[in-house]
Amino acid sequence: MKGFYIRWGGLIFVGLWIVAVGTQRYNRDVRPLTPEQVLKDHSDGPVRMLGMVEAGSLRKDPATSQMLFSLMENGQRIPVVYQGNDPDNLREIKTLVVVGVWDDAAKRFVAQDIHLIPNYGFIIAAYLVMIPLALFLFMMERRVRLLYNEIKQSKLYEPEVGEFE
Amino acid sequence: MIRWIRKYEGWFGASGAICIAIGLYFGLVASPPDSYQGEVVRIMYVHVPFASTSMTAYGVLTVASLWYLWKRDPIIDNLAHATAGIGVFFTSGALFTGSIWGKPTWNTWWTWDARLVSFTILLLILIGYLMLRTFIEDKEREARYAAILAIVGAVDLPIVHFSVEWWRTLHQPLSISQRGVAIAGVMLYPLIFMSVGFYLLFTYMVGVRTQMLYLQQLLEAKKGRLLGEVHL
Repeated sequence: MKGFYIRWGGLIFVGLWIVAVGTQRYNRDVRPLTPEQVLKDHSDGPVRMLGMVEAGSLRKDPATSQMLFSLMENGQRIPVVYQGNDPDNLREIKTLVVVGVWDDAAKRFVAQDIHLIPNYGFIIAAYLVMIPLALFLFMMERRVRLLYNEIKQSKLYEPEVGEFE
Repeated sequence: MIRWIRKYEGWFGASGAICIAIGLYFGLVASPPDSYQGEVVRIMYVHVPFASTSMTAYGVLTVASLWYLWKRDPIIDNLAHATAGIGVFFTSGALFTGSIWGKPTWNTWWTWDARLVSFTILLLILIGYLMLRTFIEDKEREARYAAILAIVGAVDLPIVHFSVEWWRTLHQPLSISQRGVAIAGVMLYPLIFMSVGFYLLFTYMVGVRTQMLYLQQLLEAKKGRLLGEVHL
């Protein structure tokens, strides 16, 4: 049984490592900031900002082909300018994540990319389904080992040569 | 057969775990989000393997049931019984993950879609199979009736598979078919790793559960013999 528990300990360790790497990636590449945080932090590098495109704010500048809109979240509004690939998902009253930098001189957010909401809660919930599967396997394996031990100790049963080696 | 399972099961388990670990890394960390679904597309890497493995599980159950009716080998019956138990887990997993994926993409946890309904019927057939096995006292009759139920229930397999082609459904059509592969390579590789990992894991789990059922019967038989000796 010792080897059995060591193996399962190793598996739990690998599982925790995958969770740690996933969390690290989420914090680095996925977790968005609110407009309020972007205004407060004034980060130099590109940031991800989540908010809803304000109704009536979306328009296209014919001279520069830039998309101009306001992103709102918790009553805070930020003007955003986007010039990139054709934004299929850019619509009014749609919650989006814009990736870009805050232009302090122009007092607007310059977006280089537009993404949908991460919805990581759903993803985590879906992957958590693997935990009952692992528990089921653990219980089965443990039961098999206990049964082998019980049969081995039973004086009624004489195993074939080499069966339990 | 039990000796063969004991000898090779570890390889299936270890290679399955490695494939799943690689698939999880690529699926959750390395692969990009989908342009329409965003990050939610990552549910595909767990939902599709669950679904395809549950279909395979029912296929194995059908073959094992036919084999049992032909040879009447109790270990083959143990194999079929084990496959049904594991199949319930994988089929439930496919329905749960599909439901979770459906909420952000279809805005509903459930819809009366041909694929979803036929898949739920598959789960009900598997549960019915396991329930039937608990109702019958005589082991030989239990195995025979269960095998017949499994073979009759196999009619649902092509319905599940082709439901997205035969009917207008909300569920997307087959991504890998004779028409070609409708998934980008960068998303296909994690899916392949996860699917292969799930198949190997399923094989390993069936091996473990087959042993468990065999050993339980063996122990019951030995204890039965002991009681018989005591009463005599």
